[in-house]
Amino acid sequence: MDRLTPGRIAFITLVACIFAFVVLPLVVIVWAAFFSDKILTFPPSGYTLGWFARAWSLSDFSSGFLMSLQVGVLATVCALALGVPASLAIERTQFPGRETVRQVLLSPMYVPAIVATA
Amino acid sequence: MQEEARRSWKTSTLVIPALLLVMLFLMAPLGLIARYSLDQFDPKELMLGVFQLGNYVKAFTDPFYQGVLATTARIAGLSTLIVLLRAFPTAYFISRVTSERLRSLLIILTVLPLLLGNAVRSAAWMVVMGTKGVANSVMPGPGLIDEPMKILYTPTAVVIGLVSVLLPYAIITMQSVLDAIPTSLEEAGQSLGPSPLRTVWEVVLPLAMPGIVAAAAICFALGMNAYATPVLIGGPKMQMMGPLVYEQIAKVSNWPFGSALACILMAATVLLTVVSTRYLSRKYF
Repeated sequence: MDRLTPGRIAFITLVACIFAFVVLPLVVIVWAAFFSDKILTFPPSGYTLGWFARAWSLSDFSSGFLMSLQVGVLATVCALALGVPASLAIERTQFPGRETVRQVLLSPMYVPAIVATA
Repeated sequence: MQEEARRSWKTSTLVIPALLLVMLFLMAPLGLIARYSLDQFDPKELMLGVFQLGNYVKAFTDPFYQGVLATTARIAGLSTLIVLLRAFPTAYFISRVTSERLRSLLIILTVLPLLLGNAVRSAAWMVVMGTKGVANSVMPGPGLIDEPMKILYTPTAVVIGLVSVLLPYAIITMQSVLDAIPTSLEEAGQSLGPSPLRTVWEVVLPLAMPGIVAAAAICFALGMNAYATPVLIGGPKMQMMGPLVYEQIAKVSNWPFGSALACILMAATVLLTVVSTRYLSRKYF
């Protein structure tokens, strides 16, 4: 695994490109948040922190942010409270219909979020 | 022995709360959706409370809805294929990296985009692909392209967006399976003298098949049901099933037809997933 053959260099380059692709949206959104231009243009004419102040002064954003935070914390607590015992039961014990139960518990992944909340 | 069996039985009851929740909040709405899909829409009463198949007939005979379903399946399928081709080398690299530090760093990099959520990631791609976006300001330098590329609001853009959304799921799924394949098997294969690529192709790939199939199933299901990506990156002309269901139910208030579309979407997703995993399983294990 240690010699740098041409094949290995090609492989590492490929993986590096894929990682760049994975991280690109994250980098772009963080970068663009500091642009001073009102309409998004590349390259930016300058940088500013103003957008962050603007976001917090919008009541929709701050109340929405707090709401998301509350919902997120509550949902995590509930998911753990139900999910940990369930996984314990499925992984550590044998009971008839264990596989079916597992499939049922995983089934929400296959249902469109829009349908599940309808 | 008996004592142990009883304790095991007691432990297994721990699954009940989660099961009840899924039944209540998933199975019950699904049942309702199935029922609504057979109802008839009425502009005044919304639903008439009858049983009929009109919604399904409309969805299957109207070329527009046929087209949307076909587009959705095609885009989800293509995205899944590209994701698998990119995720496998990446996952293989992560699972064979010797430095523990680099390995953790790569896993964090993979999971990091998941923290953003689909909507934010799709918005970021809009920034990249817009006519004044990153891609167009980097590319045209020495006359590579004459006019700004139109990437945003095309099917290609949706596929690019979906690939970036789905890639982390596939990498993580495959990596956990690849981790379980001992390196000694590759060393044994290598000792017979083939190229490293051929060793991966003939030794690692067949053993990793369960992970690849699982990743494909997850990506295809998520791709079929995608909502934020087609809406934000695909634009108003790009029609996929997820946004269409939402539109029918939330905007047009045609619950019966929206429900029928939702049922068709779910059935198509499950059917295509089951058929393709069966096919792959029979071929490889």
